[in-house]
Order: sequence, then structure tokens, then C-alpha cells
Amino acid sequence: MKTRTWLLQALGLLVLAGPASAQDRPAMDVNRYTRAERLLGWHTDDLIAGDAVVPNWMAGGNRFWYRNRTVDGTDFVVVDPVRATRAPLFDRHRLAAALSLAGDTAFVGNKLPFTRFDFVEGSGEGRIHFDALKKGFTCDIRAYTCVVGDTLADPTPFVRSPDGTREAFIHEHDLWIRSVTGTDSVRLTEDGEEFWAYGITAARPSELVAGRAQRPVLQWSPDSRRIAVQRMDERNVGLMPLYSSTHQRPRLYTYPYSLPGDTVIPRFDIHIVEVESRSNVRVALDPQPYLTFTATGMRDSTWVTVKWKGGGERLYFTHASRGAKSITLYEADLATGGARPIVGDTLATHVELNLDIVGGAPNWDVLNGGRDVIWFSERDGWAHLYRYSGDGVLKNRITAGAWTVGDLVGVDESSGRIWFTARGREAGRIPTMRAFYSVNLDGTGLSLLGGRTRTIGSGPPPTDGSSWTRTPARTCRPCRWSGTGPAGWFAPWRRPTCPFSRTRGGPRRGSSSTRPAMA
Amino acid sequence: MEIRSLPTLLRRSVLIAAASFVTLPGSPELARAQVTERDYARAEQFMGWNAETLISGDRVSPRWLSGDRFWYRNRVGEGHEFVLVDPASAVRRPAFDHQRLAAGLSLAADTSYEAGKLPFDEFRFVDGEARIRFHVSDSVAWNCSVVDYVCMGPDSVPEPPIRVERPSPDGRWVAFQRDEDLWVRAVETGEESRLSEDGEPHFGYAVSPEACCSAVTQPRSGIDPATVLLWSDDSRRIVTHRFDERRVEALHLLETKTGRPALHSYRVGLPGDSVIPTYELHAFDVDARTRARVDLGTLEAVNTSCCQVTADTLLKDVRWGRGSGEFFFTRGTRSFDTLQLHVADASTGASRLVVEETGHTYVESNGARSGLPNWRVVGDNREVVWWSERDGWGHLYLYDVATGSLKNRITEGAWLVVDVLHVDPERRLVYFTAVGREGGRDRYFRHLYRASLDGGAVELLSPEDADHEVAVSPSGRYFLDTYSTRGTPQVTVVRNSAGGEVMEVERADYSRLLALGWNFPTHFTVKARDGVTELHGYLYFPSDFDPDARYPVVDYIYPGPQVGPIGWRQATVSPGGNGHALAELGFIVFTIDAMGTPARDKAFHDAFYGDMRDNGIPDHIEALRQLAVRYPQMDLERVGIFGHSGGGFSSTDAILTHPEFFKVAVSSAGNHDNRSYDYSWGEKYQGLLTRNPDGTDSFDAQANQNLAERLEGKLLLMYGTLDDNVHPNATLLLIDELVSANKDFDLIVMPNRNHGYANEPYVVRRTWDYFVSHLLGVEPPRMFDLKRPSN
Repeated sequence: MKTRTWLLQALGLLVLAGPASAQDRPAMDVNRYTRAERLLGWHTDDLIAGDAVVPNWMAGGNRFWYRNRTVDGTDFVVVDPVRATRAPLFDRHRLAAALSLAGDTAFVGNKLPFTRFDFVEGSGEGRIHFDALKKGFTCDIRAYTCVVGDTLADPTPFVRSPDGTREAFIHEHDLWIRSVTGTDSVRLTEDGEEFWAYGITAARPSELVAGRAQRPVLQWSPDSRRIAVQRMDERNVGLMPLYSSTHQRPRLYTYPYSLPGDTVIPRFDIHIVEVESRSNVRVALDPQPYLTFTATGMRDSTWVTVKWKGGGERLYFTHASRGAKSITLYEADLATGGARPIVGDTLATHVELNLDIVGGAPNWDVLNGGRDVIWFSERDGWAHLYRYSGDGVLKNRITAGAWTVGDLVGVDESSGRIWFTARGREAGRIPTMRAFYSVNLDGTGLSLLGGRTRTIGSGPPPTDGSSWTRTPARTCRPCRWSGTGPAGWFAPWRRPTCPFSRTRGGPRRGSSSTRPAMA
Repeated sequence: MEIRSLPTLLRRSVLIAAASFVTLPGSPELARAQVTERDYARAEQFMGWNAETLISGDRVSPRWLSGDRFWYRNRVGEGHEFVLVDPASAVRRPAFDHQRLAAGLSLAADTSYEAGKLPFDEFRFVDGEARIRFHVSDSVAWNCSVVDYVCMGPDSVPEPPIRVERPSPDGRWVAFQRDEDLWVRAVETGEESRLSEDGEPHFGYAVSPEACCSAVTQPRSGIDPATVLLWSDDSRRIVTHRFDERRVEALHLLETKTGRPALHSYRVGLPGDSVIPTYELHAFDVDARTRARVDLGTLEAVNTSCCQVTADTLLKDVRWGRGSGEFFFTRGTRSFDTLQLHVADASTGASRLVVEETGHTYVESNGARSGLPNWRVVGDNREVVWWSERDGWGHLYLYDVATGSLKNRITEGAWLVVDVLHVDPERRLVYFTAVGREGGRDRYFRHLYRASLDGGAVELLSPEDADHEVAVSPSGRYFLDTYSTRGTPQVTVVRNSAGGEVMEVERADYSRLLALGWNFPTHFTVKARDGVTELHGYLYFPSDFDPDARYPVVDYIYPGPQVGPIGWRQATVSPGGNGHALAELGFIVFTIDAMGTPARDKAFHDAFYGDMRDNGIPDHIEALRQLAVRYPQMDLERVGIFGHSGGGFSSTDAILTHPEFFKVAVSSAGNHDNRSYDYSWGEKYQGLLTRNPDGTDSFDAQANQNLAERLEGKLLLMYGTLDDNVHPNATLLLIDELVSANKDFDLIVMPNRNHGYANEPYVVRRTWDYFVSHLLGVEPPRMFDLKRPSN
């Protein structure tokens, strides 16, 4: 009875309080936030190991090293697929000791203060150079001695020639080269100007704020004789204004930024510059629009809009229309700049060269001295590979069916076999999962590679297509626990489930295959 | 596993609910368990824009005609009327026959106009007052006979306002600025002449400075910048400035629009800048086409009186003497501690120092509100009436121009001259308003006085115990006096120069509003933080005030120092903060002229010189504690605070520095860091910016963002993205630090608004909601549609 009276009084108070306001709502248990926080990537990252193998290919063969996440930190591993060996690249604890001595600081081997390094040239992979604590270190990884030296210059603005002797860079809107020692600078172009520079664009606010250099958009020919360089015309492109906040005067930034319907958008030319003669030939097509969301432009610091072939004797490139309604593959005449169309697609919506428009490289290639062209197209409603002759005649489909080709990963011209990833081909599997395949150029001999359920990540192709790295994909992979996290820490974690969705079938609207008229 | 019975569970949940309820502020005596649409609608009625439609006869803004006559637009009944007054004959009559004008205009325009709602606020007599000309829109003007009421028009002949094309006193010329040079046009022939040759961008003659506070707003609104110059009385000469902003750095704002935002850039000096706007003074002889530059060279552009920033400084700081041989001007310094009066020869530019006034904080030529400098050249340029706070109070002094020596004080005592209105050189009398002189009256009430230039007795000319808003007629023979208090409606009378009442013009009628339950606010006095100084303020109570209930308190703050939150003590339905309306939701609303605000002695005004962080907030807290003893209905556990601009700065300051006292703040358009605001503001009240070797500076202490980690209460911030007065940067800096400190706050961004959005219905409604939600602790009606009448 006593309880009941008390209860009524309490209810009376509640009524008096009126409708539930924000303060009246039940409180969320803070422990749920704490648990949710623990599942954020930046915490879970520390609790997994061996998940990412990003290969750094080494000279002479197919060996690579990678920085491996271990239970207690990281280590550096070298893999030799030919001999099927996997071993530490160096004794990380001895290196830490040497580094501590040289740097007058305490380092531990499982948490070395660098993520990337370069082998010192001519050291036979015996010495490495890296930056740590704003200092440059050179360490002998056989004798385990370190010396402190100059920090590495930011390599971003310098593109080294394939023969390793020179590097190309942009200075005051023009293309220059110099020796790798930083001397003997030579100006190769003369007419670069603000908003119409060779190799770079006007600096964006984020670059200015971070002090970040641009990677010049150019590609050396394999024989180091020529440079194909992009010249982006941003003149008269509308400027986008932003201002920063500072405790006194905000700083203004304006930068070219084109919007739908603008009459002027950024468009670029391709120039072929010969290093010795300093000749500068513009590829004779109308400047093409810069397409942010298509697999063109820069991928991993490499300009993928162009490809040199024949050791530098031939140059191929794509040319797109505004809105990516059509994209055509051309071959350039290195002497005259003339452009010869080979194959292209025009679609009512947009043409893609890789369905991964952010990270993917364009899935076209030219093989066998120019006689075979691999072309990627969604013309039949699915993303597939086609084989054309060098003068643009369709020889055969390479792939077909209700599935999509992902990345053209490797080509072996001698065997006529290509390797690629694809999605949706294997019945009973999640259609968004990539699988790894090879096929003959004539479309025969398609075979699924890899383990039954293993997914295949992408890495740069090896030199001869003979071996591959396999990395678990970031999502939907089986849970693997290496080592031990804090006891009970991860008890509530469960494997994520993957949505199983099907794409709408049928050919794409307005699809048409075009064989461009000869120019 | 423990199995609990249902009653146990229920009891537990009630326990939890009851416990959380008890912790609600002021729980058992909640004044309002809920706030309904009806409460909001009642509050809406008391918004000034609605309340003003229920009063009449409250405002007489004279437009002077010949013979000291004037007309004004009078609020009456459901509309307006135009009234003409002739003090000489003590006649008050309609300016024209409103019915016939409405009929004539309706006929001509093929529309239907009502006599009480004529489609114009302003008109101009033409043809010897036989006709009137008025605009019904920016580009459409009519010309109507007020004899036979036939209207001609419409025409759209552009009529540049006087502020753009400055007419000479004799009407023969207009002077204007074109491409940074000074030009005149002969009215009769239309012939134009360029008087200066070397004007250049950002270094032009007669130009309006960009600077603060409408460099973006004006062009967006299609408003031409003012032409800054002064004609001599004899129309022979013009004095103007050549204003130099060439090296002043810019601020930038982004106008939101579909596609690419538009960039607006304008030059503003900020505290600590090495370059601020400067100017030279030039005198031009219109007929001779000669010019003279004042020999002082480059002068620093600063505000020399209480209120304006730099924009129209010159118009206030220069006065011609009798004739056109000499002009007088004040020269301020960037440090604000010196104000000089010079006289210059208009034909040679040779100048001479007459008076130099110095102080330890900032020297002004007018301390309160109107901002019109209180110095006057007397007679034949031989004497100057000078206003000074040198003895701690703002008083008048008479100086000899030739010798620069003080002849005598004119006024003296523990009171303050507000505005010099008129000097009568023949009778050697100065007419002025002052506050604080009449014992036993509200010290903020202005009265009209006159005093002999030679010193002696001060004569009270406006006897009523009220605040007197006084305008002087062109000849100086009549004074139009509107008097009222915050508790009694306006009475407007015409007085003669001896103070005698010539006629009554208007008597305001608030009866329709009072019938709705609207109340005048309640005046109070309290002691300041020092326990000695008397402070004045007002409380607003809900119309259904329940003396047995307890109410949360909302403080509407404006810290000054140039003006306070209250203003002069005339009756008003539109007080700062809209206290009548806000109180109606279930609050007691509080405003106070804390230390640091004007219309008091100099020490009071200087209370937080060099320490803008103070903002008078200790006085607010002290006052509220004293008032809570008198009014136990005030619940000081639930105090909120809000303000705009300086009030945005200070309301955030309050919740950061006194989180135990202020629980909720709404801060709009705040100059949260005065380093982001015009140099002539922060440097005047905080002192020149000095930088220390460790990277700190003398403005760090006033910056709200440096206290972000102290936030405990609920804070709603707002800024307008085109605020060309207080740049959004000031709020963004605070937001950045609040984010860094992991603090919760709320934010409303007002796109493309300049500084003047405080009374937008949306902003008012969201402010109400914020206090209702977080101070009253109840749910506001959902998205109440507060409306503002279009006119």
C-alpha cells in the first residue's frame, strides 16, 4: 500500500511535467557508445594482422617486399614467388638498435618509424634510405649500421625517366628536365602560362593549405627519348571562391572549378616532347575535357590516359567527349601529331573504361606490335573485353555473358593469354565479389584461377605474368584473427553479412559500337 | 538469471523518471507545463511589428518646410495620415485632402487607393506647395496637385538622392563623385565640370569608404554610395576628403546561389593591421576651379564620436565657419587618446590647431547614441563650443579660436550634455539636451536646456518628468519635443525658445494594445558589482503573470560600449530583444544598461576599457541576484541570455565565463573575436593591438574561442553568410574551437543575410524555441509559423 501511494505521487509529478521533452527521454547507455567506438576502423585496425599485402616489386625477377601488420606492430617481409620463399627483409630488432644509435632515440623493432624506403642504388639491396623524425637515414641492412643524412626530397613533383638518368618537372608552367642529381636543368617547352600550364593545373586550396605538390601529368617513353605531357587549359574556367578562418584576416582562395552548363570547362591537349631536340608536337585533336569520374588521368602517380608502346615508338591515348558520351582510342603520329582513331564507344549515358571510376585503370591495351587492341566496352549491357585489329576491325569478343569484367590485370603477348578480374560469373557466389580469371585473346580457354572461395585483390602486375599476390578483400572476407586482442574485448563482434543484390539485366540504353572513320 | 516481477519493473522505471524529473531546473513550481500554439500566437501579437499597428500618434518625425513649418506622417487608426504643422500660427491640419488625393491618384493610376493607406511614406512639395511629388516604388513617381488633385505621371525620371548628388545651399549646383573624382553640375545649364583630376581607384575624392559595414550590402541592394563632401554656406566652396584604401587588405564573402557562389571582396582594416584607411582634406573653389590641400597631409580615419565607424566620418568631423574662408575639422588618432580641433584656410590649406583634447582611454566628441559631434563654431569663427569629458562628465566649454585658449566652461556638474541642438550667437545661448541633472528623476531622461555661452545658470526648458526627444526648427525658434517614458505614451508639443508650449501636436494612444493585455515594462534600479553605482533596467512580465509561480529569466544583452541594450527611455513597442513577446511565452525578460554603456560619466563608460571580455556581465549577474530578492518569482537556476552582434559576442562570453549562472545562450552575428572586426572598434575599446614575443597578443583575452572548452550550457550560434559588418569568420573561429573541445552547440546559418537578420521571423521563432526547450524545459509548438506583416 505504501508503495502504491508513492507510485501515484510519482505519476502525478510526471503529469505535471507535461509532454516529454528532450530531457525526459531515457538516457542512452554510454557503454554502447564505448562499444561502438571500439568498432571504428581506427581501433579495429590495430587488432588484425596480415590483412594487407601491398607489394613493392624489386629489381630482377618477381620478388617484392611489403610492410606487414603483425600482432605487435609491423614487420617488413620479402617474398620470392619463384623460390616460394617468404622471409623478413631484415632483422627488425637489429635495425632498431642501429637506428636508435644513429638517431639518438629509442626505437623498437616492431614499431620502426617508417613505412616506406628506397634501396640505395648500387648497394645490391644492402642499404635502404628512408625519412624518419624529419631526418634522412641510410641503413646497411646487412651490417646493421645507420647514418643520419639529408631527408629525401619530396619525389612527387619529379618524374624519373625509365633509364634512371633524368627527371621531368614543371617550373613556372613549363616542362623541364634535369639530371637525377638535380643539376643541368633544361627547359623543354616555352609557352606555358598560368591556367594553361604543362603537366599541372592551378593549385587547389587543399594543396595550398597542405603545401602539397602536384604530380606532373606526363609519361616518359620507355626509351627515355620522349615525354608525353598533358597541357590543361583552365583559362576562363569559372573560379570557385573559398575563404579560410584565422584569428585575424581570413584568407581567400579562388580556383578553376567547372560546373554543369558552363560554357568553358577545363580541356587538355597531349603534347609529345622530344628531349634531345626539344621539339614539341601537339596532338592534333580538339582539346578534350577533363573527366573527373572516369578511369583516365592519374592512377597511383601514373598518367593512364596515354600508353607508350614499341619501346617508345608508338603512343596510344583515349579522347573523350564532354560528359563521357563517347571515348575513342587513337594512335598519335609522333612526328606530326596526327591522330588516327582505332576504336571507340558512344553511349547515351556515359562510356566507362573501368567500372571502378575512382581507382581503376583504363582496361584497354595494344599488343603484338600494334596488331591487337584490347577494348573494354559496355555496349551489350555488360562490361566485357573485345579484341580489335590495329586498324580498328573487330576480331573477336574476348569475354561475354551476364557478368562484368573488372580490371585487366596482365597480358602475356607470347602466349596470347590475358588475366583479369570479373564479378558475377560464378553461380552461388556474391555477385559483387571479384574473382580472378585468365583467357586467350581469341576468347577461348576462359578459366577461373585462385582458390574456391578466396578473393583476389589487385596489385601491380608482375613483369611476366607468372605470379600474383593475393590479398583478402577489405569487405566480406572471412574473419581471421591473428594473435590475441585484449581478453573479451571483441566478444560482441560478428562477421558482417553481405547484401546479395542483382543488377538489372539487359543491354544498356543507346548502346552502339562505333568504328570511327579514319582521320 | 534474475526474474523481476512486473510491478518491480514499473516501480523502477517510475523511480528513474521521478529522479530525472527532480533534477529538472525548478521543477515543482514550473510556471508552464507546456507552451502551446496559443501562447506563441499571443507572443506574436506583442512583436513590435504587430503591436505598432495598435497604437497611434506615437511618432512625429518632422520634414521641415519654410517658415519653420513641418509635415509628418502620423500613425492613426488602421493607417497613416500626413499632417502639416505651422508653429508660428499654432495650426495643425492635414497636409492635403487625403480623400481627394486618393481619388485623383486612383483615377490616374487606374487602381484603387484608400485615403488612410496612401502608397507612399515620403513626399516633396513642388511648385510652391501647389503640388506634391512622391514615389510609389523605386522607379515610379507621381506628381499630384494638392489644389485640384489631378495627378500627373507616372514618370521614372531618376532622382539621385541628396546623399549622392549634394546640392549647394543656393541651389545652383550639385556636387557628385564620378570615377573617383569630384564633379559639379550647374543646375540651370546641366553643364558638368570636373574639379579634381587625379582620383584613382581606392584613392578617390568624395568617395564613401568601403570599410565597415555595408560594402557588399549596398551594391546588392542597388544603393549608390554616398558622396562625402560639405558645401560652404555661400555655395562657393566644397571641402571633401581624398580617401586612401589602396593598401588596405580585403575581406571576402561568398554569395550562395545555384552553381558557382559569387565572391564579394571589400577593404577593411583590422586591429593590428599595419595599414588602415587614411585621408587628406581638400577644399575646392567651384567658380575659380582652384583647390587647396590641408597642410596636415595624411590623416588616420577613425570615428571621433560614440557610434559610427568610419563610413561617414568626414561629414561629421568637418564644419564650415561663417562664409567660405575657413573650415574647422577634428583630427582623431588611431590610438583614440587624442582629439584635435583645427581651423584651415580654405584658399591655401594652411591649418592651425585650436583645441587638443587628450585622455587615457578614448576621446570622443559626443558620448551617447546620436553620434553628432557636439562642437560648434560660433559667430564670426572667433569662438568654438567644445564638448569634453575631461572632468569625468561630458560638458561644454567655450574656446577662443585665435588663441586656442579656454574662455570659460558653459556647463558643469555631475550630469552629462547629450546633444548640442542649436547655438544662438546673438543672444549668446546654446540649446542642448542633457541627462542626469534633475534630482529625483530617472537619470536617463533627456531634458532640453539652454545656457549662456559665457557660463552661468542652466535653464530647463522641458519641465515634464519624462524623456524628451527634441528636434530644433531650422531657424532655431521652435523645438519639437516628444516626451514619454517606458511606462507612459508619447506627447508631442512645439515649444518656443524659452520652453513655453506653443501647441500640442500629438498624444499617443496605446489603448487598443493595452486592451490585449500588453503591459509597459517595469523599471528597476540596482547596485552594480561595486555595490555603489546605480544601474537601471527593465523587466518584462507575461500578461498572465502568476505571482505564486516561478519563471525562468532571459537576459537580453548589448554590452556597448557605444550604445546600451535599452536606448533612450521613450515609450516603445519594439524594444531590443522583443521583451514583450518573449515574456509572453512564460519568461521574465531582463535588460540592463550595465557598466560600460554610455549616457553616464566617463568612468562608467570606460568600465571595461582594455578588457572587452568583461562585457558588463558581472553587473548582469549582480543585478539579477538583487532582483530575485524583490521578485521571488525569478528562478535564477534557469537564466538564459541572448543578443545580436555585440550582444552575440557578450551572450556567448557570458555562458563561457559564467556557466554556473547562464544555462542557455543564443548568440547571433557575434563579433566573437574583435580581431576579426573593424580596427576602429576593437582598437578603440581594447586599445591598440600589441604582439608579444611568444605569439600571444593583447586581444587574446577577449576572444570567445579561447574559452571554448568552458562551455557547459546550451549554445545556439547564428551567422549571416553575407554579413559585411561582422564577418562570419568571427563565428567560424568559435565553431572551430568548440569542435576541437568536443562541445555540443547548435548552429543556424542564414544564407546571403547581412548583419540585419536579428528580427527575421525565423530567427525570432527559433530563439523562442531554444529558450522554451532548454530553459522552460518543455517542447515548443512544432515549427510555429511566425509571420511579419509586409508593411
